[in-house]
Amino acid sequence: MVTSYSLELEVITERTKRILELAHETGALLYGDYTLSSGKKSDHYYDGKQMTLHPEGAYLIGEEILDRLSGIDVDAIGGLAISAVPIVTAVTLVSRLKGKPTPSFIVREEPKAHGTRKRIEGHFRKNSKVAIVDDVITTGGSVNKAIEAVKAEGCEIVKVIVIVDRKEGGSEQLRQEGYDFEAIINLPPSGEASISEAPDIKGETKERVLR
Amino acid sequence: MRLQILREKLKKEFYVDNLYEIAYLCRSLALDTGSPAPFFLLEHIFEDMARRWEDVPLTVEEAQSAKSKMIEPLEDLIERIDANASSEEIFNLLNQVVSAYYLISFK
Repeated sequence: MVTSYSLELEVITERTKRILELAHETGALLYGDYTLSSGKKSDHYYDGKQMTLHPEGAYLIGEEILDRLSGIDVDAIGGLAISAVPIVTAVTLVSRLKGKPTPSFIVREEPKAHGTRKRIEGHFRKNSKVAIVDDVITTGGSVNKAIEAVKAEGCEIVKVIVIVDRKEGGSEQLRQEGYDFEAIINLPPSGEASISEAPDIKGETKERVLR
Repeated sequence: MRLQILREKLKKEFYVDNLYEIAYLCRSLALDTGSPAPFFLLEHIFEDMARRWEDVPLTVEEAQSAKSKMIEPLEDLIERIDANASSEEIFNLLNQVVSAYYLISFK
């Protein structure tokens, strides 16, 4: 029983390792002198689209997020456009392939100074249980926009998952606010990328390996 | 007062959040004047820049290069608007701002 559990954990860890490798191979993880949206300077940059629009990257991210949602009662997953669009698409597609269909939705960025059009598109129901995903969290701006949009529709946020946590306050803030937050890769200001905390094996996966 | 805030924001580096703030400020200035065209144009230039740089790896060099191309015509324009210069002069300065904008190479 212990052996089976360890094997399953190893499979998950191998996948997260591969995701980190792909971040380098696909050019998603860049090193240089960058100006971030906030005006902060950084000697590295994570270009999430290079990962989530790559065939293997999209598939692995879809699998990884779906596994991290396993055992959680979630009606749909969504996130802020544009960054979350390929992520939710990957998860939804993989969920169908794995026989656990999970619909998705996208939250439009609030148009500056306008803001009257429909903000949430796709398979979204008011007052439902949702997971929010994004490619990067820095101070938490994008993730919070998505959270606020779905909360305004009466939804419960059951999980927040990002691919890269830049460790600049956003994830800590979310945890302090009580959100169940996970990142796949940690990328602190030092630029040393690492696999984030290994996800717990739970839900159907745990039941399968312990059987 | 708001023109002074605009000057201060232009003195800062060009990065996405600042560009959106400049665009928003230009919009409020356009809505509050009988001659909105210059600020309308500036609003759309800065919003366009912000959108083009959003979610892409922007190097420090690219941001500095863009600012160096734009800052002089922008400061000239704002100074002349503040001095109530003629429409013809403002129009010529706007052309210089637009020309400078087109010199920026976006990815």
